[in-house]
Amino acid sequence: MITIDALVKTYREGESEVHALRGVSLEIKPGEFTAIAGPSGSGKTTLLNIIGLLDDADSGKILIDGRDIQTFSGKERARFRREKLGFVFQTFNLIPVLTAYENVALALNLLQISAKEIESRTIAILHEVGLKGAENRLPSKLSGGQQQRVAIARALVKRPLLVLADEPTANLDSVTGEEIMKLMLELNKKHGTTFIFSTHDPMVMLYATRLIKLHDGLIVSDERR
Amino acid sequence: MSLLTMAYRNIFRNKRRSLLSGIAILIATMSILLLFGLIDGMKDDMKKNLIDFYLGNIRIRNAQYTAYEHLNPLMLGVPLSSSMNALAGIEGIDTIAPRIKLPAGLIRDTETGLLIQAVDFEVEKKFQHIDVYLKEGRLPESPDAREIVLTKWLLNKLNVNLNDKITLLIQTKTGGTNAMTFRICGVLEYPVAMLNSSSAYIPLRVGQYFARMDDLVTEILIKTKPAVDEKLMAQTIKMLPELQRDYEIKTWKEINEIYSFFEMAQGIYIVIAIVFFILASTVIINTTLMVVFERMKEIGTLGALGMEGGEITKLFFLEALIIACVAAFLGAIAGNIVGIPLAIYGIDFSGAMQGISMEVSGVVRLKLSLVNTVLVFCYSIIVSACAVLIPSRQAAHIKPIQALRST
Ligand SMILES: Nc1ncnc2c1ncn2[C@@H]1O[C@H](COP(=O)(O)OP(=O)(O)OP(=O)(O)O)[C@@H](O)[C@H]1O
Ligand SMILES: [Mg+2]
Repeated sequence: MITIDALVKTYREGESEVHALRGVSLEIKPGEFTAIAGPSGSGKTTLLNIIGLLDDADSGKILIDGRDIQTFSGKERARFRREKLGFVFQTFNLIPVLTAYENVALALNLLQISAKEIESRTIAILHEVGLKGAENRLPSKLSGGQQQRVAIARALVKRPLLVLADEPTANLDSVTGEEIMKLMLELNKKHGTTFIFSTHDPMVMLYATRLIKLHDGLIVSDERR
Repeated sequence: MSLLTMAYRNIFRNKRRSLLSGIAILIATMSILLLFGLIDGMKDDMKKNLIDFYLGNIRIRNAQYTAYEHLNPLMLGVPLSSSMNALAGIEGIDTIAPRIKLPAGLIRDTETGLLIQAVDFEVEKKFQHIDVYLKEGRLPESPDAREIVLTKWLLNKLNVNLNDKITLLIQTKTGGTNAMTFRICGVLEYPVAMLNSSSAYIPLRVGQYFARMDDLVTEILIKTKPAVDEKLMAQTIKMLPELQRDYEIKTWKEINEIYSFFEMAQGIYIVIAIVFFILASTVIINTTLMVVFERMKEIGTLGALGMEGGEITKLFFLEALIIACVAAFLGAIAGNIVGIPLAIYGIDFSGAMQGISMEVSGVVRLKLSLVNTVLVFCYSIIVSACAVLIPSRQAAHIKPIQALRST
């Protein structure tokens, strides 16, 4: 479903160059629950951002669903993210003025979907992530774990092709982090949604059905479990 | 979940800052409304004064008179009876006031000059409401009474009192001199400084006899009925066979340039208003810039969710626009509330107007109008909307990746 070939990304800041990715190639199949692990600075975020159409690679090829996303215009990128991609962030990134329900519904509001369907899908996913009863709370009135659940619901409510999660548990305690991993895995199994998440937490890696290790912008190991 | 709701809720995230932006726009709207009200009030006041006291809607004079005005050429007059007959056939005339302007000297130990006007007091009651400005005494008893009404200011200047007798010396139409004694029967007080320093009235017939004018007057002033086109009427009067040649027939606007200048300056007021609104908008521009900067992470999140730049711009634009609309609305209301006492009691400029020869009253009443209120409200919103578009568009140029990194 995702084919990445010889992806290179170099950041230039004045004189200095940082080689964030130095030829990454990999293939991800539909429904995989993939962890990208590696020390800080190894290029995890950079890779996820490029797959998520938030950043451009300098060279290499990347096909998602058979489409060469590097040829997309700005408008097409926004549309692709809107329709096909879900994001989960390390810092949850909920919109503070919107309730849990509204944060999730926002993802559907951007699509051409009837109000009725938006409501039923939003309610259903919020129940699935275990937030029944918290629908009308603002993010500030939710715990970190609950906020991340809202974010997961927001990513999944559009039934995306792919969910990208950059260190989704880094801001949570280990117990809550584990709960979040269980939830993601459960949703992956239930809906068959493809997940790619990054982490340096060995506990989190245990949940992955595929573990890719990055080091200095190169893949050093790739194992399916 | 519409953008509008989101924008609305965002307003309350930093109440003090939103309030500050709003207050700047509110004050600007209110001030401009009051300024426009004041200008309109002044214009109305000046118009009324010019028409009532000086020019009528239309003034008829001998064509040569204006050229020799400094000499007060009595022989260059307008024949009264024939003119009145001719004007009787014209539709839309409310009142006709014939006046004779007579320069006179006061005979005493020393000589003091003053300009007296011979008028028909019955007509002037209607024309300039002279009875309203009568503060003491009464108007002349009959058209033939040798009585004079003066302003209080002249009374003081001439050092005379009510009921005193004064003897005035004039040059007649034919160039001879003539003197006549008048009893001061009434004291006037006008709201216009210029009138107070120069108004002295005697009965028309007495004046005609005094100056040997026969049937002549120096000018005939015409007041039109409401909603009559004075320009058109002046044209019609010019066509009358009796008045076709030898007479100058002009509307008050043609004669007085200051008022026309006021009208021409209308465009300048609008520019002043817009500049004022732009200044007020700097506060909201600044606020919006800060807001965009502070909510960088949200901009990134919305971008990642697939919201396009235009939509994100709209979000910030709407937030500022709501503030601007509410503030402009409240400013328009505040302007009217503050304006009401100023419209009723007026603003006293008599100190400032001292010595300024303009036909504006010492106390100017604000003129509030719905048209101005709506206009100023719209200006305020349009200018602040345009202003706020600049920082709002900034939000669209931010790439999601940059915005997300700024956490
Ligand atoms: N915008 C940027 N400008 C310059 N250098 C960058 C930029 N973003 C990332 N880098 C550099 O690229 C390298 C890879 O960064 P990246 O964020 O992908 O690593 P990471 O594996 O996600 O690290 P972490 O675990 O700390 O999040 C790092 O050396 C980083 O300093
Ligand atoms: Mg990272």
